[in-house]
Amino acid sequence: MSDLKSPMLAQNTNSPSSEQRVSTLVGDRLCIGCGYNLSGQAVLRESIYNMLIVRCPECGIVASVQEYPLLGRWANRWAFVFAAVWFITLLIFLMATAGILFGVSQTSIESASAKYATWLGVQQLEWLKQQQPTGNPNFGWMQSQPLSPYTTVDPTWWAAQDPNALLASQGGWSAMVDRNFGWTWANWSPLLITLGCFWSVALLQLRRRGLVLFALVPIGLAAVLSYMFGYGPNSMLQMYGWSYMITHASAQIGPRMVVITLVFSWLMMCAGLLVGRSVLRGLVRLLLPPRLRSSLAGLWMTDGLAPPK
Amino acid sequence: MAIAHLCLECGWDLARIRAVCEPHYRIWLVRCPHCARACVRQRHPLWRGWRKFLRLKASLLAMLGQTFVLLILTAINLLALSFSHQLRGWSAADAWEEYRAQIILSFVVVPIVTGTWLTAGLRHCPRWKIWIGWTLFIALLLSVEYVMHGIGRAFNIPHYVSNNPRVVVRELIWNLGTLALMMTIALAGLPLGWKLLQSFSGNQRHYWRKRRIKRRMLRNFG
Repeated sequence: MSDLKSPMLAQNTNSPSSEQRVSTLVGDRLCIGCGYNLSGQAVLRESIYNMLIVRCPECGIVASVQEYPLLGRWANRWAFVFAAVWFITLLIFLMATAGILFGVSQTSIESASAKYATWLGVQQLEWLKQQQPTGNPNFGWMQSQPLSPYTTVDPTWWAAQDPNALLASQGGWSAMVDRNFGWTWANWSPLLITLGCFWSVALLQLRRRGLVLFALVPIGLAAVLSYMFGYGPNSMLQMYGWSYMITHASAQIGPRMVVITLVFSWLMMCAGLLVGRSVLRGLVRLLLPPRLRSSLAGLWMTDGLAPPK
Repeated sequence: MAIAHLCLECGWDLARIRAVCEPHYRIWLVRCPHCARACVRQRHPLWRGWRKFLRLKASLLAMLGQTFVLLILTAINLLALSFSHQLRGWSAADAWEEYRAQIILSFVVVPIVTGTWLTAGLRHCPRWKIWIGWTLFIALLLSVEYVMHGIGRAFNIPHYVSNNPRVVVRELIWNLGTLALMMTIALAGLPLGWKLLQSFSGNQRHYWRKRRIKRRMLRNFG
């Protein structure tokens, strides 16, 4: 330490004005003492060692800004591991988002098909009454079941029907869609907005347009899931011998409903994506004292805002 | 094996030279034995990253803790407000006789705890903003129920909010009146919050004093 003490004796007598201002720090760099974000502070050339330094305006600690490349490989290896873990986590969350959107579309279809399914149940009941004299073995329990969208379908009756003609006879899709799906949408909306908020923070590198376009990815995945496994012409439920009235009703109401619901879900997610960062910034300002905010400076800097003070 | 550290002036490898803490700037320096140029020894990126992670963890934990407290306080305030509906139609004496413990809990303990937290937990925010913001937040949550039932009614969803607008307005006025009463009682939490802050900052002062003494000892005798 002896070789460093002698210049410092001179330094102690020097005033800070002997430090020459070189430039301004534009990057994100936290003070090693108090964690204050030094972005915007002057870069100084101090007179004793000719080093480039930045002084923290909060605690006065000097931070050196000269950096040297390192030969160690573990930093890069760990960076790769963390990046891979982060990427896999995001993929899992993406799948979960698509699953939730699939659930939104299916519950919306279910509630939108209820009216048409109940009407189909009425039609089947009338048909069953006509079948009574012929001694249909299913008559007894089929007629006694309560009338609802989940009324069990008699396959004989359904095979004799033309589904498109049935729907058209009641005024088509728009006349038979149950408007109660609006309530299902209202219940799902907070979750969809929250999902948008989550993704706006998870994908900090994306700007607004990128975020809005990104939302189409889980929507597309949900559309694929709906086509493959959901209610509709390819529904697995239709492969069983006995099915509920809602299964057949949703096969007709569902395809258009999936598109409308996914567009609605996209709009809700976009709302969350656009306000998510602002909401979180507000929460950080509200809940955290200034000392702890600096670690979350990325939330501000990603949108080109000044880091929190 | 030590990581290479070349002198910026002459290119001498300073890897084997031990860094010493510069007493004025408090940064780790190495003086080149060849040209006498002083160079900074940076922390290893892994170590730096770990420290950055610890800072981030501290921030996130603090935020999580605050959110948890916020949720708990919101829930118990709403419970206290919903309990107040049970007292409608009772005379004060009868209600006190029947629900003494619940009344003390709902209208004394809950508001005072809330007031203490608003003072001590959110000390970094302007106090008037926090108090007005909290009152509006609870009032907003109270009205959400009516808005949701209004939407549900449009879709023929069963609901338990009265269809009579007069009854709804009366319930809203009751809620807001109770909230105003609770916030007035919550003012009693102000001195408690101040006291809590004082003792906390006293502990902090003690901690920093001890740290300064330790550093001074190390610098002078270490």
